[in-house]
Amino acid sequence: MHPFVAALACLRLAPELGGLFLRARPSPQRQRWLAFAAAALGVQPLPRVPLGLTDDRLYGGLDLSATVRLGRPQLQQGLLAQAHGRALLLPMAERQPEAVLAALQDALDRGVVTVAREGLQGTYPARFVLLAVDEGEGGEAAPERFLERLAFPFFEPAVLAPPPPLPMEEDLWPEASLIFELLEGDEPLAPGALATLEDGLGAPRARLAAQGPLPRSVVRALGELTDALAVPSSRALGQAALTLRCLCAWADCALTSPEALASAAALVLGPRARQALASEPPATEAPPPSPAESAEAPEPPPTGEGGDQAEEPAPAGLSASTEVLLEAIATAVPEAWLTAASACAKAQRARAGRVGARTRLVLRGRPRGVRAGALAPGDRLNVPATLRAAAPFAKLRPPPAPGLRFALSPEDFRIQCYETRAATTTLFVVDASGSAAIQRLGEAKGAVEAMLADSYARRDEVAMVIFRGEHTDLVLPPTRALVRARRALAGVPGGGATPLAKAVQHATALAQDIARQGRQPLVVFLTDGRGNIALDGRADRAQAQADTERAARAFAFQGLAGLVLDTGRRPEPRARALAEHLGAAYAPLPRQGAAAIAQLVTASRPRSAAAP
Amino acid sequence: MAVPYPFTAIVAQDGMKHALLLAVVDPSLGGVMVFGDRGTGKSTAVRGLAALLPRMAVVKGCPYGCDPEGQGGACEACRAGGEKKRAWAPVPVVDLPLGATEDRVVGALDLEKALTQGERAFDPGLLARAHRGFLYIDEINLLDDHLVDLLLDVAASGENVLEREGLSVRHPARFVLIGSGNPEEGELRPQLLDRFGLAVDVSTPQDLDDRVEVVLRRDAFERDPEAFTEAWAKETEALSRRLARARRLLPKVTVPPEHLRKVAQLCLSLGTDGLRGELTVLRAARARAALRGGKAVTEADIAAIAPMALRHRLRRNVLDDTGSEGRIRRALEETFGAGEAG
Repeated sequence: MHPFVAALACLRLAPELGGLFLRARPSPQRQRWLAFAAAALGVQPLPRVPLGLTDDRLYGGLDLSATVRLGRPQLQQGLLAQAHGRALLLPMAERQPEAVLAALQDALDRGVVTVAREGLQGTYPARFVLLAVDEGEGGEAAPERFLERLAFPFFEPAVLAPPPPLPMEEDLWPEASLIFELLEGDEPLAPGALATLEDGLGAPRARLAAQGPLPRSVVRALGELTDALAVPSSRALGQAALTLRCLCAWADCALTSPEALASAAALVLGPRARQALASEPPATEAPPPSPAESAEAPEPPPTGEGGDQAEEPAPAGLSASTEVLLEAIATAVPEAWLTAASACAKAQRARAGRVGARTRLVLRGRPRGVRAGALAPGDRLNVPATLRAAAPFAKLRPPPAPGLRFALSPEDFRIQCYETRAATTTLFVVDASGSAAIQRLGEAKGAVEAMLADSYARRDEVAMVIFRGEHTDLVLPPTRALVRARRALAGVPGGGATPLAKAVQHATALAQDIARQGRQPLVVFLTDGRGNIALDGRADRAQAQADTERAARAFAFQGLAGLVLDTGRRPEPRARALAEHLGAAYAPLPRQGAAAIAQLVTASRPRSAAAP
Repeated sequence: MAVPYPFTAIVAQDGMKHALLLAVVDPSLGGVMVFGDRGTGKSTAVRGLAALLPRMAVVKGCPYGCDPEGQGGACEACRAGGEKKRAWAPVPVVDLPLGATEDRVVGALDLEKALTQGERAFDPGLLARAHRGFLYIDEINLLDDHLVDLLLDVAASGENVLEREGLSVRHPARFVLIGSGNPEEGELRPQLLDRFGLAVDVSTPQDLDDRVEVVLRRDAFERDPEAFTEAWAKETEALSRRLARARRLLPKVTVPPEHLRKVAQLCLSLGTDGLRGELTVLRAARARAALRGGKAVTEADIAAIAPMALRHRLRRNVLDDTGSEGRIRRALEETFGAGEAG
């Protein structure tokens, strides 16, 4: 059976599995997969979560025109509640802001959405299947803690080339398999084809409801596989167990069926594997149908009849099948998937620690006056000001609707303004060349940590680039997390030549990136200004000097804020010249070390700006 | 909402469970901060906790759920006197939802009354609902600073004061703040951490047996919540009784003077800022003593709660990587003599 069909068959029975995650670039194959998913979930067209979604559309918010018309607060349901019982497509998951992902994640976890906004309060059901599509290549990925909510990951290789079939018997859901094949073959669907899908659901649903409790030995076998495959997600085990239930409900087999077990593991655990299965995995030699079964765990009363279920499996049967199980999974998880999965994990790590930066909303902050104007989604109406604006016209306008005291019209709307502080990202560019490197690096690291330790209130971020030899390296991407910074800076090396020009260029690019994210960059150079590697990588002092000057002028041209801390033993004219070219402030490196650097940098941070 | 997952059925996570129970025994401890990933059973534990508590007496019709007996912190309407009818209500556990706007947290102008009657009325927010109960904030580091400041201020003063949109309201809001956050995703401000009485780490259980147990119980619960809750009713009741007894016992628990000195010495050697550390250690130790039914605090009580009462108050030395937990253990051993202090 095709794994994608199996995944959808399971999701159809148990939306609690969250959904599926497709990490693949746009392609006709991907298009077909999504079209099939929409058909199999019975949702056409699939509602999408657009980029740039506002909070009120996501959670739900005040429907202003209806509120004004009816004279009582009217809720407009958000996307999450609207998707209840259906499905949602999340395109470009890797580009979605953290606030949106957090909302989706919360709904996936709880199956409800709680609205507490704009004078409204309520909890609404929001249980849906999420199809997350991630187009990130290498560098970008949606965060792991979000993706682990979705039981079934599929990586690009699986989409492009037909993945190995599951060890389950063919065609548990023949109607769906047929449609999948038709779509693969680019054949048009018969109008009645989709209706047949729904017909097939009744029997497995009933069987799922009638299943008995999960046998401990089966869950244990799955748990051991999780360890053997080094699956990092803590949820995978529960998802695999539920998937097993669904597959057994489709196949009408016992929960101890080795094929179903292998298929569930291949679907949920396989793509999450961080290591290939050793040919003879030591951990799973003897799958323990543990006799310590009964001790303190009270057996939950069996639900339903559990008719065809053996209460506990024959331990011998499982033991014998474990080898088969492992083999089945090993074939179901090609090497290419492993590579794709680890690339995704790497990108996720690079993303970690950027949460705070993305959740800033203009809706929050300290109130700062009101303005008149059209009400855009996400704006907050200031009711007293609005009523005040309407009051003088009360006599002039036609009488209000019955039950209303005021005749309001859109031009009366007064919108609350908020003041938020734009946060700063301080980018340290550290000269790690030469003999003084170790000490300078140590001080720069200390300064980074000292700044982070007290940067929480300002939501400030710190990043660090070092340059030495022929390279510049972003050793610490912008972050607010001290824990993360300390880990990243632990093994930074020093020594070698000084590619200053390249460092200035790199810093300029990074600072522009930071500014693009709506933050204020401050670039702090820790150097003596004596570059000796030209842009083309040659050790040519004069050329290096000229290149550095040019790069510095480009930096100045961008209007970026900078600070040069001269690390020379005595004030170095070339460092001062660098500062001039950069349009940056200049100061000799304080002798007192890290804390003094942090203080100096904090003082020269750009002024906080007020956002509208 | 549906039936909450029974608190007693939560596998492992002993540190978190212990801290929450202490906070129930002595609400003046100042709340619990839980560090760890989402989905490690934090919100499950908090919701399950509420089910352990007996229903509380409230003034009928009071939007803040004031205590009919208590005079001190009652809201304006209840203070005004007059006939007060008694009603029983469950201890509130309020979840601060993601994306909550400030007006829903502190309360705001009642939109309906403003529009229909042109009347300026106060519509109480989440803080009012949390009065005498628990306020749970998941991912506190995702919350806007402005809201965090506001919450901390209310949590510390026990009162919500509102001066905005032409409203001037003051109402009691005493609750146990329970926060969660992931330190990998951003540092928490020390002032914020200091406000929490206890801090604990949770992580996914590493032990395979535990993880299997988690899945089995969860599965059983999902399939039939009522039956599962029923199966755990005995444990839940026992714990409920234990909590009630501990609450009665708490005022009688004494701290031997030599232990007072030791606690002061312990905090001194760790260099914790301010007195809050010492106070919390003493309170938590008394709560633990009450929980186990003892009349006096012992060394074991202090040793058991010192890590969670102090770990978030240590001055962070940016160049020292030793975990706070390790430093506290060391200090405990030094203060209470060699060997296992517990």
